[in-house]
Amino acid sequence: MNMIPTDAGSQSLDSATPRANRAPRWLWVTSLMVVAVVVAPLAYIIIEVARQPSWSLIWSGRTAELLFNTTVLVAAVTLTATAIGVGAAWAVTRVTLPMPALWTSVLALPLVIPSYVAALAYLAASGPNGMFAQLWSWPVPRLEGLLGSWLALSLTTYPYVFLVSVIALRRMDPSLEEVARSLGKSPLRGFFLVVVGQLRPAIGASGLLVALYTLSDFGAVSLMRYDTFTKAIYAQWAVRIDRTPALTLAVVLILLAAAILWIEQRTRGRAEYFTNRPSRPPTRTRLGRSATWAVEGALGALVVLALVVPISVLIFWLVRGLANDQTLANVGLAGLRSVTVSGAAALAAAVAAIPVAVLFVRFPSRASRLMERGIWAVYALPHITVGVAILFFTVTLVRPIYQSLLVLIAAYVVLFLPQASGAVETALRQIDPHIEEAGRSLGVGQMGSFLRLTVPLIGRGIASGGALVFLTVMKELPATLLLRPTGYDTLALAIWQQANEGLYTRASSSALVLLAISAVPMFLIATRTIRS
Amino acid sequence: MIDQELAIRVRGLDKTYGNTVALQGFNLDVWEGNLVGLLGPSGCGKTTALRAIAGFERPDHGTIDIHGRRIVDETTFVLPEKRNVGMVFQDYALFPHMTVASNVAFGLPGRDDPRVGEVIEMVGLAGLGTRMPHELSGGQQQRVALARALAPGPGVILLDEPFSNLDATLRDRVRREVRSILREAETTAVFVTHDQEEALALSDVVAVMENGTVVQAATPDELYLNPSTRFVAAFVGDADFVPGVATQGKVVTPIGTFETALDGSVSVMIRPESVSLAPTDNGNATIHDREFFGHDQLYVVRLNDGQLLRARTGPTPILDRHQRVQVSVRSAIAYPDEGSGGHPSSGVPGPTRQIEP
Amino acid sequence: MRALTILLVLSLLGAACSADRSGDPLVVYSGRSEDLVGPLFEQFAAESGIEIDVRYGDSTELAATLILEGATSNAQVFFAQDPASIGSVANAGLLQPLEPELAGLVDPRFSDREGRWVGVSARARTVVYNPELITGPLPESVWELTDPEYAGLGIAPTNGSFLAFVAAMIMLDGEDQTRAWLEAIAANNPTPFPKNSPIVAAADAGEIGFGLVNHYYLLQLQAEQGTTTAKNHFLTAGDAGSLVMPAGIGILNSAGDRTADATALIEFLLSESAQSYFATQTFEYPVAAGVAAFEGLKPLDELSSPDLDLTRLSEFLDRATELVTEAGLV
Repeated sequence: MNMIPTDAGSQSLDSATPRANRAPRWLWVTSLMVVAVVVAPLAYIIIEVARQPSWSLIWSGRTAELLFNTTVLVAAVTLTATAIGVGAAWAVTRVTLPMPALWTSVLALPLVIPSYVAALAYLAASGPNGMFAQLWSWPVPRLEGLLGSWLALSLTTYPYVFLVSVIALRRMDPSLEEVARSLGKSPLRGFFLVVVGQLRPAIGASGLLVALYTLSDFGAVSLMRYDTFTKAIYAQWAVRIDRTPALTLAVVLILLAAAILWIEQRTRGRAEYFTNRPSRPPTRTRLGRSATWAVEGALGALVVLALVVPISVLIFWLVRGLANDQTLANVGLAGLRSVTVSGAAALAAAVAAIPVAVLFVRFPSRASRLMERGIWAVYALPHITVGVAILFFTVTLVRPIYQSLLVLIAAYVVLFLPQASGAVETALRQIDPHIEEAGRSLGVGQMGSFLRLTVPLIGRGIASGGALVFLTVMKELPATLLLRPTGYDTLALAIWQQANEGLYTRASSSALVLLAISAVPMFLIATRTIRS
Repeated sequence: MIDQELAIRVRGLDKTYGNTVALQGFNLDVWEGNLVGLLGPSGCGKTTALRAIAGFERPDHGTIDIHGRRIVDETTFVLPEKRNVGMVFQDYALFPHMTVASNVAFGLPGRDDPRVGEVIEMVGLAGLGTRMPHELSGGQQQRVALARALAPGPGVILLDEPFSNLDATLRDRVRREVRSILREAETTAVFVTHDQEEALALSDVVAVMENGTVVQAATPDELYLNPSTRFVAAFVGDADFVPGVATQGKVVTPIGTFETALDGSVSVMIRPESVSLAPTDNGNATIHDREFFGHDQLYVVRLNDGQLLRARTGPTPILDRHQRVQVSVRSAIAYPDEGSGGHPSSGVPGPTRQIEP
Repeated sequence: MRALTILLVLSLLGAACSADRSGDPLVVYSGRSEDLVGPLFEQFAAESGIEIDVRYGDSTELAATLILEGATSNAQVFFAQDPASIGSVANAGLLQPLEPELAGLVDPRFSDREGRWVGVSARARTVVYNPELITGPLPESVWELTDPEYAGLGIAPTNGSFLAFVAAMIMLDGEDQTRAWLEAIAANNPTPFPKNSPIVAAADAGEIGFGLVNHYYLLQLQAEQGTTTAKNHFLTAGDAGSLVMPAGIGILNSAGDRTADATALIEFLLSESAQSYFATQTFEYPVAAGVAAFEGLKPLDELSSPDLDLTRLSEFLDRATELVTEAGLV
């Protein structure tokens, strides 16, 4: 279940995979340690809540309201992001456009904007005090609540669907569409039957990602003041002496995430989509001039809404604040902290990913599949739940490391391990497994063969996984909010605190720095994904 | 023969994966300096046996000795890196991030060992030491794999279907070259193949495997001329089987009567090259089809009871379809049928002679 | 590869070591925002040479965290925005008694009766309103705020001051009335905010007509902008809506050998320079050092604050948050 747009490049050599020999003990031990760290906090809070659940909270009207709000938002965002993503992907791959490669890169860029920054931007743009009102006296109604959340989330998540669909559309064999036409189907019907049908796994996987991301979102909904589970969990944690209500809601959220996963499994269908490289690139339809302009116009509007508006709003507030001599946040220090902690997390995740990836790919067994399920399950959970679990776990069981940077970094690894392990697994699958055996037949031991032969070959995969983790940790908010050491405020945290206080100028400067730092790895990842 | 030592001695190897039995009672003797082919259909366990000798599979039971040293038994398992057994993989498994020279030098203590250059030259790749594997052709890659395995001077080299990835046109030439390289290196080698022609052409000894065990191990000519079971006969070379029932030392078939020591239901194995055809009006068969190869022909004749039989003849005589011919057989082997109801088979399969038309 | 491993090990070691607190800065959990009190901490650090590390957050959240952390908290000082949250920490037995001279510096009205915490500045609950949107008469009691004309009322339900206010309502008028009031407010389409200052900004911008806040936020906005459209209105009925409460500070038991430094911090906050800062920079009511309040501010004695034993306020905090949750505001 590789949900991220990594390069699932050439055919795998699974046919040449040696049969499952016994994995060396050190591999089992390190992998088990990693998986235990990931799974333990969640297990702890589930047990804790199961012991004394606050039923009155679970069955209250408030919970029903939260459930309704959350479900509506998740459904709306998923549908919108999917529609936009697939539509844009189709336009970019199947319609004759000028500079399609540029369009593709630009359309993928909103991924770099965290949802809460988009929320901040839309809030600061609208309303009687917003940018539009101030610059052009447009009384744009305040974009908040469900509308604002939906907007902010849809426009920052559609790139997931977009990128995955672009890859899938590129890989499609055009002869299938031609076969449909030779069997008497019109081009449009052929499109829906063959193209959309083949896109189902891509849509399913990326749609799932969007749904879980929305479920997990905390920053945007709390800025937009839309009451969802995540917002309620944090509020309960913040104001109650008794931790049980927050833990209970957190477990309800886990169940909700599980429900989404279950739905995705059921609708996945059983077809196997053989991803061979097609013999020739897909044909592009040449639309009439006005139709092409219409398509370009739509794409342009999307880019404006998703990219230009947020960034201009941030710049506007920054410039306005500087002109009014407002003090700028200590952005440099926050930026340094963000980069440090993201870098450390990326390193830690990459290192932790290696033994588990090797175990899963080279020594598959029922136990290893269970472990793999375990870490992906935690990945699917909302970050605030995991944050609460780790916080509760460390404060009650492992006090010495409570509130330390170590726990924060470990939390990031817990949250994002599959990003790194997925990339390493992909890289491992592209290597001939006989290579290590060849090394051993030449007298070099197992560890030596692994280090000298396999590791250099998966270096790219490790780096790409690390880059993805870096990017995600830079943007992370709820777990950071709960777990950071005193005084260790990252950019994400600074933005959120400042936006909460209505200090738009400071929030904007922090947000712009965050975007600038994130843009580099994001651009590299996107172009690599597109090029593959 | 007395001077020759046993390079590899395998006894009683068993290996089961879940519900699949890969090896059962696998035995093999490989004499020093010999090139031994493990031949069999896919799934017969030959690769498993090879990997067990290399150390990449751990058998459930059995023993392996290499050059008199106990490598595997109930309490012993020597790690692959310690066995001094070289291996050439089916897909070559060259290290893609290293040059040819670095690949070859991998098993040697130092990169600058003169042996590297020697071995590269021995396989005919002199001057290509600085190339990267992806810059080489398939045949060249295979030679690098061979050189890499030979460089540390192992006692034994194992090759897993070494020629299956090559173009058919290259295969013959490469096979001969590899054989001469191995002879020149004076290395004992075991290779695995499903191609019987390849096994017969290259090996000093061929071990035919079926269902996880060696059915017959012999020199190629012995194997061809005296296959010990029906399976071996069919697998090695062309063979047609004519059924019959043997009683009192004779078995009557549509192409004549054969003498045999067997009793009961048998199949008479006839190789096409031992069949003669004589055009005649009251023969026991008619021509069904013909393929002309220039230096010989392959006829398919239809016997009176509808069976088809192949006959390999020289470029003449040329016979037309439906022409009636008399089929006679110079030599054949009768094999007992297994588990046939009625008459139980008995006796040892052996050559038979046609005694009456 | 090796270099990466070494780098990782070093950074992880460095990270782990940040858990070790001895010889480190004085750790303060502050329920007051960085904007307001950050400069004071910096001044203290500069003058005394004592390094300070501050964890900013909501008063109630920090109180809950301290109680969860128990006797071995990482923090040494708790600076709360309201008496209820610091009271609950005191009731959990986590605060050590302050030196009597220290407690004596402050008006006893604004300190813990048992000497576990002292008030540092006082603030009154007000209703901020936008006169351009509001034409009718202004409310006099908090009970009027449930009327339909106050729809869209700005509140900060997770904020310590609001929760202390609700706790005061329970103390004065009982649970049932409080629950009824909260449910009525919830039914009246309130506009929730995470903190107080956005409420004032929203009122000023005309996004909302009324908001329940502390008095000083508007004055800060005025100082920043020069003038504001919004105005403060003090309720006169003498109910919980007119509550005057101090921001309290106490030293945790876990302070250990940092108690002297912590005491120095409190002394500083009660000194003339800090109290003047509260009077003229944050526009709160000073409580020590004989410093007078800001001129434009309604004097304390003219406010109709209810007579309340603030020390007991914390006993009702838990119930207050439960009622607020049950009403669906959180």
